[in-house]
Amino acid sequence: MDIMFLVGAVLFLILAPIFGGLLTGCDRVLTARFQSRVGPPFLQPFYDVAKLWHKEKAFSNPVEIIFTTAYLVLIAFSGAMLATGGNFLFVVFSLTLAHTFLILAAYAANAPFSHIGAERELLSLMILEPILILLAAGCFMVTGSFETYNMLILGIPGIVFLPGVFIAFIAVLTLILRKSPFDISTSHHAHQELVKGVTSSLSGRSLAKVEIAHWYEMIIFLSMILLFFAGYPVISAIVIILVFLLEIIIDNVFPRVTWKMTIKSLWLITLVLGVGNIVILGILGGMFL
Amino acid sequence: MIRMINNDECPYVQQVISMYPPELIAILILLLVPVCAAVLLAVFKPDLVRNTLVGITSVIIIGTSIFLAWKALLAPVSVTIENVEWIGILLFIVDLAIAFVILGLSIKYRKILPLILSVIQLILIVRLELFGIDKHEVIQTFMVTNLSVVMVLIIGIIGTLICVYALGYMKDYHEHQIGVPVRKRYFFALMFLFLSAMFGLVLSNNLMWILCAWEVTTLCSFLLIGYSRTPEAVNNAFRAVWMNLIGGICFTLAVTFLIRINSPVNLLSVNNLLNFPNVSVLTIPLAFIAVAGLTKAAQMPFSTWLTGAMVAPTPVSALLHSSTMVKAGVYLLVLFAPLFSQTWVGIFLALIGAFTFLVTSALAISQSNAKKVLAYSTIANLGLITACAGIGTAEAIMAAILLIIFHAVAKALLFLCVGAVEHKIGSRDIEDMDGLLVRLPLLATMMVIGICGMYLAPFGMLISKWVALEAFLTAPLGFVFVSILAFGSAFTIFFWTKWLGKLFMRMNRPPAEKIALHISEKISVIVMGVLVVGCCLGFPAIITGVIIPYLNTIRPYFYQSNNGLFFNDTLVMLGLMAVILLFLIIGAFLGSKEGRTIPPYLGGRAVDAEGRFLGSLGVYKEAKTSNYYLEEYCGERALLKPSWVISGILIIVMLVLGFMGVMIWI
Amino acid sequence: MSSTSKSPWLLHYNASSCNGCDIEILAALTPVYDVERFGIINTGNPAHADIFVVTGGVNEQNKVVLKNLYDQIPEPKVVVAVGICASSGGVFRDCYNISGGVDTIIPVDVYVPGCSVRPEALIEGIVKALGVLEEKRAALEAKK
Repeated sequence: MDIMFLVGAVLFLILAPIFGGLLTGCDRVLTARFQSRVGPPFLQPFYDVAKLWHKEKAFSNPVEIIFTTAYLVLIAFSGAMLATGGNFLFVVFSLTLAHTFLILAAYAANAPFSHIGAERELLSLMILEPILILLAAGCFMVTGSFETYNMLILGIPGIVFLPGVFIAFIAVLTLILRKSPFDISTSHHAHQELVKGVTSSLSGRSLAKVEIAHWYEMIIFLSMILLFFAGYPVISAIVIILVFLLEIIIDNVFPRVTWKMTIKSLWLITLVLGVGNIVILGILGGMFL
Repeated sequence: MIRMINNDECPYVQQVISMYPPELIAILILLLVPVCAAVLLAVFKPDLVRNTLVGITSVIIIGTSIFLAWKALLAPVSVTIENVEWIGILLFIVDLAIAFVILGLSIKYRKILPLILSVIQLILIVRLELFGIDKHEVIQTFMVTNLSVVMVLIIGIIGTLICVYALGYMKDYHEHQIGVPVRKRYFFALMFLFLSAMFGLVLSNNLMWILCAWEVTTLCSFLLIGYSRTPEAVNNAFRAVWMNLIGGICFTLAVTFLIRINSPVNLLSVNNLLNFPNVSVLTIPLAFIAVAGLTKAAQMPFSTWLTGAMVAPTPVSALLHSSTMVKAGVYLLVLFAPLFSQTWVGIFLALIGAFTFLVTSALAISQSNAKKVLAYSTIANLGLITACAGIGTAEAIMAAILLIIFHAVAKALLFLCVGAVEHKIGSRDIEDMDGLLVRLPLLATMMVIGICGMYLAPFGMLISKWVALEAFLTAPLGFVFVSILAFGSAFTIFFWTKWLGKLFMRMNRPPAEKIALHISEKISVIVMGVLVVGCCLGFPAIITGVIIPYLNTIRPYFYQSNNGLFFNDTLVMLGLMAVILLFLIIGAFLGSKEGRTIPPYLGGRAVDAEGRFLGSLGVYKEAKTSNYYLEEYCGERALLKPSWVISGILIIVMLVLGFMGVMIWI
Repeated sequence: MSSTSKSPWLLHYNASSCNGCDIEILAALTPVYDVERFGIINTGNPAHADIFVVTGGVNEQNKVVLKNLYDQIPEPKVVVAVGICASSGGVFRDCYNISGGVDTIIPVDVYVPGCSVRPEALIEGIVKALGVLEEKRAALEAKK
């Protein structure tokens, strides 16, 4: 752990929420334009968080304060580890731990909507876990270790070895970025059947922390795309922007996808494309190339 | 690849012939003191005598276990006693007695399958003893490697703590279950007899002695499951016995095939087996031992005996069916893992284990009965250990031992908590456990520690899963195992977080009146909680001090040291995470809780002091939401029968491969 | 202009209105008027809201709910009574079942009369409410 890693981690911790907020702002503007509206200013997410920060301190269960703090801190920690080229598997486990805190915060509120929201969020977590572990396994099979640094310095970009895993990852990214289905908690739409689900009893600072954590998450998952296109920064940037646009389009074009459809379709995709990719890679002996 | 080690040549072995060194005394204490305690406990009725006996015996056993462990960690202990044929004959008589007891009870309760199987077992054992074994060559009697140390500590510390817990628990049990006849002497005698058998199993070097101890544990499990004598308990007890008898029969067949092998050394000695150069002739016994381990560890298709055994009192579930007896099954598999690693029998054993992990994790999602969730989770973790044992590489064995340790402590803690909670709130359904953190703070906190210890970073199980993942990736057919692990671990996250969340729900009740726990329950639960945290913090020491020396004794150059990297970076990151969590915990207690409490939101409905909502006609009603159980995908009806078919096929293929002697080219 | 008025989140409640004013409120979110330009989001959750927009005169069933929702909104908060029924009870003021306007139950900061309210008037009412919100936030900060 030398000084470059520390610098990288600090840079990530400071820059990621800024970029995340700007991306969220772009997201809202683009969505509005798709709907023939003008939309808010680009910096709107920052105004939202600042407003929330200055609201009265109110809670339904005091433990939600520490749980949302834990969520934010651990997401930032995972991101910092990813940004310094650290162990990908550990990043995945750390993200799971962070999510668990958010889910516990929702359980700890004493309201039925929060409970249902927590269950739906838990389902999302269960859906996205396998593809991340398969991605970690894929990295190991290609480079011989879980360190993301090794994927980034490969001669051949990762997508050549892991195309199926890439497609499955993009499919699951829709869920991770909370674009679809509409009835998981925290999808950004105003009217959805769970009254905001997981965050329905969070207010003020707790909600602000969750928002910032979502920005970190967005950056973390979009930058996982870099693992597939390492060594080609221009192509990586283009792919990331295209994927982001794709997610916004999906959000606007498929508004009524339910969570049941999501489990079935995403796990089918993970199984066929993700596991299939790994199996083929294993049979071809694609280790330590 | 493996060189044969003669007892005289090996520099680690201390030959002991007729002196009484402290290690031998320790071993004899661990074997004999529980038996004596069992006899005394069967005789004396007064509670005070029983409490004192259990207390004193526990202290002796814990002390001796720690002493023996310390001695064996310094250097593996090997003890050879001359002239032990009389012990062999004695154990043969015990085998016969067990078979007759099972036979008799099967006749009394008219159970055909156990009857037939116990007759078969009887015939096989008699045939083996009278006509099979004619090698009287002196072999090592007791062997204490680091793996045995782990098991000794588990049995000695966790096992005795559970017996201590049972003192308070059984008092409540009989107050709640009025129809059950009080047979506490019988109960505690069996518990301590079981402890003795377990020590015999892990300390012996002679396969016939291990077989006898195996059968004794089957008998104890059978009798203890049927303790309450209700029709359901009797049925489940007999189901447990016929499945475990299959295991016993396979074990006996393994020994039968083993002694037919032409070999200059006595293959009844585990030590000699592990150092045997020509593994390809061993595949048939290995396949049978694999089946024996699978039945004892309740892997598919033998899982129903363990889930059915949950009708027994909770100390039985904790001791036999999560921490100790089922660990005997995987202990055997891990013991022979270096041999499994060279043959396709091992790969298929690993496939059965991994498949079981996947299916039982899914099944656990559909259960709301807390003990059944714990049972399925136990089977799942044992499946993971089996998978690691079947693969048998150095990393896999390390993962298996870590999993054994962490699972034993965390699961025992959870069972003890669930048992106590059941008596206090009158239900073992998870749906009734909401708000437990304000109703029963100590038990709920311990439960939280136990659950976190089962699946969250940076606790122990997660580290074990990580090592297992790395082991899978470097094994043949590794990609299959990795995929199974990916989906299986997603399932485990779901059902554990569901339960964890339930404990935090509805904390807006008025605090309950102080419900007192029995002192014995309190001691056991708190010590177990400390053990869970201690093992997690001490895992680097466990790896370097216990596991790596063990791996090096199997084959001195076995262990590739590229894990030095794993160690440093991993430790730093885990340490950072632990520090963050520590700050968060401190912040939770010291942070300010100022702020307005908002009542829960249900469309603006009014809420009363107990968190109930104003419904129609002005009546305050509870809004109850329950967890997801995903019955149509994860229910027993959907999953059990297909998994029996698949696992049955895998076992048959494994046996066929064993008979064909198929090896792996590494 | 602090961040509070740049990001006003609405909670919209119908206290036995005829839905005329509610339709106009929702129309304000559509592309023609597009109040999201001001950063306004219609949340359905009092814990997230700053502006409480109420329509309809209030009846027996609604009284408790209205009070509860108002209490569950964290400070600083403003209440906007939209439509003449919410402002004073309107045509139904003397009916036995109508309380006679929102201000009989909770304090109101901005009244937007009309039957039904035009979106332009509504938007102007909201903008006025933003001014009140600013004052309240300043007062809250001063109190700390």
